[in-house]
Order: sequence, then structure tokens, then C-alpha cells
Amino acid sequence: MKVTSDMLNPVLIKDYRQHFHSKLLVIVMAILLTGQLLAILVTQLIIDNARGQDLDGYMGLILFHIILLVFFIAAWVLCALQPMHRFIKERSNPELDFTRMCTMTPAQIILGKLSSSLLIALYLVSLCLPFMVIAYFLKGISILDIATVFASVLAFGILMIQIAILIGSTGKKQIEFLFILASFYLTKKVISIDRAIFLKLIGEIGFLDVIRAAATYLLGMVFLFVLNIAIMGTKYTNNILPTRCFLIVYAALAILDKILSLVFKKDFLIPNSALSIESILCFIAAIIATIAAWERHDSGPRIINEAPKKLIPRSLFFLISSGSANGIALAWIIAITPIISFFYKITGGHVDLDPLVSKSMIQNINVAIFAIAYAQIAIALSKFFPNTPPAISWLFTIALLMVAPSLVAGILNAIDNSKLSQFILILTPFHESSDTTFALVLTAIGAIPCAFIVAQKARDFLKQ
Amino acid sequence: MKIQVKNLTRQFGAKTAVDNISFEFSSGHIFGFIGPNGAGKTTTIKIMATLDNPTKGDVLFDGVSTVLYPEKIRRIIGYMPDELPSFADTQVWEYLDFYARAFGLKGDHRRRTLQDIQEFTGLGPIRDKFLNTLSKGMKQRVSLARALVHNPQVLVLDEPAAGLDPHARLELRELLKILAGQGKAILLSSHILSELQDVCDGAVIIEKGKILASGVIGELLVDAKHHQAPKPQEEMQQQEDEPILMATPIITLKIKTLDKQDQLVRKLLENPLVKHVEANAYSEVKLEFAGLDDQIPMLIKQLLDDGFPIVAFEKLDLGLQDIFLKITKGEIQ
Repeated sequence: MKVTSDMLNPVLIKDYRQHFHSKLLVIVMAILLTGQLLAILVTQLIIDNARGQDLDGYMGLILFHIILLVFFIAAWVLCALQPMHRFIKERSNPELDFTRMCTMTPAQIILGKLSSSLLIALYLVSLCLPFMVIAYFLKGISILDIATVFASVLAFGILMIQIAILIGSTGKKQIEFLFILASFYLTKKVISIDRAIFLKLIGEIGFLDVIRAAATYLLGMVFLFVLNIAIMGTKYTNNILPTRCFLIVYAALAILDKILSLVFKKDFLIPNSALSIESILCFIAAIIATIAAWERHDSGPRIINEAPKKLIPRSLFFLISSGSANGIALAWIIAITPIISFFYKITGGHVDLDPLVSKSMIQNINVAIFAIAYAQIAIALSKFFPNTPPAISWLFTIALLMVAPSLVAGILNAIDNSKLSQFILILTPFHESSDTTFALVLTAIGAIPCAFIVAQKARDFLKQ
Repeated sequence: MKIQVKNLTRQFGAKTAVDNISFEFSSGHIFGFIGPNGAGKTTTIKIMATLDNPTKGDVLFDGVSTVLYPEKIRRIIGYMPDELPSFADTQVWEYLDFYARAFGLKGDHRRRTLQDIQEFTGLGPIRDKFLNTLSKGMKQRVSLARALVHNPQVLVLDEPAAGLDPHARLELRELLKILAGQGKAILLSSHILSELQDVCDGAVIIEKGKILASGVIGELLVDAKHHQAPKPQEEMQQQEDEPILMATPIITLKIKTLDKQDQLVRKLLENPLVKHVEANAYSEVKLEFAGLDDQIPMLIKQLLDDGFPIVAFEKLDLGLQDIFLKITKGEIQ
């Protein structure tokens, strides 16, 4: 046992010990068991009062849902909310700094936190199992249903825990409410994905739809994981590298998917009607640009020192390394081809597109181009105001160019001045024409100061 | 091991927290890092501990850069910050066990190491206590134990004696002496200067991000006795080749009188050799005398002849605290 513990993640051991010293665990366990016992009592009362009505096919299902709800709340508190609180404390005190000073990598720290929460979740599942058996014997639910629901709840849990780590790693109590909002949003999202899985189980949708739902889970999980690595890394480490690599791989997979669908003349993971390859690539570029707007401008001496010596590998390393200049350069490279292709398709009229698909495509690309434009302006602002943190510059840009005009336009719309409101929305993706012209003009304007920053940083990086 | 802080600068926007400072210390020695609050001590220490990056300059550990190779430095440095251990729901032994595991210590080696450290820092009897139930002194010990868990060659301690009672300070001092005796290089930041004087071999005095003085304690005492005005590092560098004009040494004297304290102060200030006079609530007067040792009896005789009921006088040796007060302005950045 002692030897086995050496193989475990130290953060997992530490967090697990903390869980079992915590009074909250005992309280939540008591509530969980009491809640389930009450559910059984209520079920029994309903059965006793049924007076000969046929309840087969209902009672098991009702009991299962009550147990699931109680489990869900308990798991949310113990596996996500409490670890997030602890992590915020660790981050605001120097404990996380000490952990990072050890030989552990950011990925190991995140995996440790994730696995300790999952272990507690499994512990809670084991507490629910006897009650699940009762639900099964009351009929209306199969073992496969139970297993499927728990598998999806587990996947949902991983997403929630990662969001908790992401918010916790900022060390700011003030943004805890974001976790609550994310919980509501994700619950809604997960229910729709679960529905897809259920529909497959009852044979209403195909296998591919289930794979698409699972792929959404997987991509969300990996994206949150690499973001957590980025936020967990110490200053001037190449902490954004995994995020950039993930997004590049994602872009490559999207292109591959589209090539396969062209060759085999059928949709694979990305349904053609939902997203075009152009909009996917523009979105990836927009995410890279937005993340870049939150970074410092230069890569730092350590990354420059680690970079390959030959020009081409060094240039590629520049694109995927930390630094806002590096990020915006990569975003341009990814976005330029799809934007040209998009114009070729739309304005040239070379490809016959369904008007609905065309409209959705324009809207998606418009949003992505605006996101790139805002990121560029934020990067330029933070260059001119070096004392302002990059994140504040980005938030200021968004507030000034998108949020404030949208609010004013909303008020004007309410007092029936739609023409003026549309004019005010000209620099936002909410303009009713959904024309990309304004977005492209704004991007071009933002690109000018950014080009100077990129040129300077690239020269510094490459000349070493 | 030789630790060199080279031209270290750290700016936060327009504010320069550390301004081109350089100093060095080595294994087996305890080096004091002295300065008022906001002088740039913690910033410098955080850079040394790889938790921050300098705007310019570097810290080299036997020539290895903290900027370029922080992972290598983390294996050889133990950092004790001024904040105390704060893990929730964690016992002392669990806390230390976590860091030992995080540093990759395994099996019996980890258990033996933790046992030794707990014994050394006197944490054995409280190993099962929760961190939040410990006194500040005990938490400081836990913090020191954590810094020692991977047997670092260099220890950087930020205000380790702050808030400790005299007994705990004495114990900490003894622990540090033992660690230096084991060949560790120790940098100790503190503003409790009387503590540093007894334990440090050398010191750096820093204010507003600039070094005002540095060297072994003896040299600093001599410098301060000659009452040299504080010079920024670059000025000191420029004057290295110039002949040094020694100022008249300043002697600090303490005189106890039965009565007439105010008149005594006035009388002393009339003497051109008396530079500064300070009276306290215990009928004592502390003065700075810019004369020679053999002029002191003449001064005292003169005062007695003038009818001052002097019952005691003492020539005070300069301490680190006096040096600090003499050369810093106590300005907070």
C-alpha cells in the first residue's frame, strides 16, 4: 500500500485527505442518505395510496430521478464547489506557488485535482447504489439506462470540475458567481447531449449523432484542460503552447473531416448544414486571437532560449509560443484562407449555396472576424497603455465597442428608433445586415498597430 | 555554492520595485537582506525563488540562471515566505508529506526525511495537529520545515522572525546557525535588525529598490561609524578608484542624569562636537559625538562642573539597527 501511494499523484492524495477531514463531507453524506431515504418513503406512500392503479413503469423512473437529483446536488457541492473554494484560497495564499515550485507540472496538478474530485464522485455513487437497486426493482428503468446516465453525469462532472479549477486558479472570490452561471449553462447543454444519447438508445437517431455528442464533450474537456494548463503555468513559461497546439490540431481535424465528407459525399463529425469549414477556421482564429489579447506581448527570455535555432522551426515555434504578438500572427495565418475562400463563394457566386446555409455562414464568420478585430484593438491598447493589464484592455474594448453600443441600441429599439440603433450596432456582430464589411474594416484598422507589434516581437524572437 | 544577484531590475508598469541591484553570498553563510517595508526585498526574493521574472538582470546559482533554467533552481532552493501555511483541513504531517511527494521523494526515503525534518524543527509532538490550530510560531516552523523538505542547498527566508515571541526567535536563530553550519547558503530578510546582527555574516541594506550598503557586518559597522552619507550603487562604483577621505568617527554616548534633562540637552547642543542629541523618558540622553575617545572624559567633566547630576554614562557600540537608521531614510516606496 505504501509503495502504491508513491505512484499516485501528490495532489490527489492531498485533496483526498482534505476531503475526509472536512466536516462538509459528513454533512453532505448525511443529506444525501436522508434525501434518498425520504425519496423511498414518498415512493412507498404513493404505492400504498395507488389503490389498484397500475404504476409499473413509473415508480422506478420517478425514484431514479429523485435519487439522481439528490446525487447531482451532493456531487456539485463536494466535487466542484468545495474544491473551487479551496483552490481559490490556495491561489490567493502562496500555497499554489509552492506547489508550482516543486517538480510537478501544471498538467499533473490539474490531473490531481480532477482525479480527487472524481474519486469523491465515485464514493457518492457507491452511496447511491443501494437506492438505485430499489429503483430498478420498482421497474421503469433498466440497468443500461442507469449506467448511461451515470456515465454522462461523470462526463459532465469532469467538465464542471475543470471549470471550477479554471475559476479557482484565478484566486478571485469575486468571480465565483461565474461558476454558478456555468453550472446552469452546462446542465442545459448536458441535458441536450444526454437526450441525444437516449434517443440513440431507443433507436431514434443514428450512431454518428451519438459520436458527435461525445465529441462535443471530449473537445470541451480537452480545451478546458489546456486552458487550465495555460493559467496554471508560472510566468514566462510556455504555458499557452498546449492551447495553441490543441486548436491547431482541432483545425486540422476539421479540415480532414471536410475532405472526407467531400470524398465520400456524406457528412462526418461536422454536419455541413451547421458549420462550414470557413466558419470553423475563423472561430479557431478568433479563439486564438482572444486568448492572445489576454497575454503579455513578449515571449520572454526563457522561451526564446528554448526555441530551435534554425529559422523555419524557430518561426513555427514563434507562432505556437506564449505572447500576444505570436498569437495574433497565428490567428491571421489561420483566418486569411477561409476569409478569402468565403468571399470567393459568396461574392463571386461560384458555388451554389442554400440561402439559409449562406446566411448562417455569414453570421458565424462575421462574429469570428469581429472577435479578431476586438482582440487586435485590445492588444494595440495594451501596447500604448503598458500599465494596464492585457485582460483589462480586452474587457474595456469589448465594453466600449460591443456591450455599450448593444445596450444603447436596445434602449433605442424600445423607443422605436431602429434606424439609429442599427447605426450604433455597426461595430458589433449584432447589426441586422450581418454583413462582414464592417467587421473586415475594423479588423483591417486593428491590424495596422498590431502588425508593428508582431513585426517587432518576431524580429526579437528570430534574431536570437 | 555561490549566489550572484546581477544587475537585477523589476518594474511594475511605471514603478521600479528593484533598481539594478547586485550582491552575492555563498554556502555556509547567513546573509541579511535589510530594508524598510516596500524597499523591494520580497520582490527580489520572489525572483530568486523563480516565482517572478526580472525586467532586467538575473540571479545566478553557481552560474545557472533563474530566468532560463527555473526548474534546475527549484531543486536547489528552499523558499520560506512571510505568509504562513494555509491548507484547509490538513494536519502538519500531511502538509509536509504533500510537499515531499511533490518534490518526488519516495517510500522510505520520504518517511526518513520527514521524520528528520520534524525532529530538527521540533514539530514531532504536533505532527497530528491541524494547521489552522497552530500558533504563529509553530506555523513558522512548519513553513521552515516545508522549505527544507527537499534538502535545498540555498535557503531564502522572507521575514521569518516576524511576529515570533523572543523564545521562538532564539530557537529560529539557532536552527539557522545549524543550517549554515551544514553548508547551506542562507539569505534572510528581516526588519528585526537585532535578530540579524547576531546571526548574519554579511548584509545588504536596500531602500526604494536600490542598494545603500552591502558587505560583511564588521565593514558595515566601520562605515556607519564614519557616518558616510548613503550613496547609490553606481556612485559607489564610480568612486572605487578615488582616494577615500575618512570622516571623523561618530561615537554614540548615553548619559543618565538625576535632574535637569532639558538643560543638559541644550548644553550638549552648544558643543560643536555634539551632532545629535535625543532625550528619553528614563532621564537619559543619547548623543552623537564627533570627537576622539580621549575627548569623552573632558566632555563629562565639563558637564559635572556645570552642575549636572550625572550618575552614569556609557559609550554605545553601533548595532545593525543604528547602521540601518543611519543610512536609510526609512522611506516607503
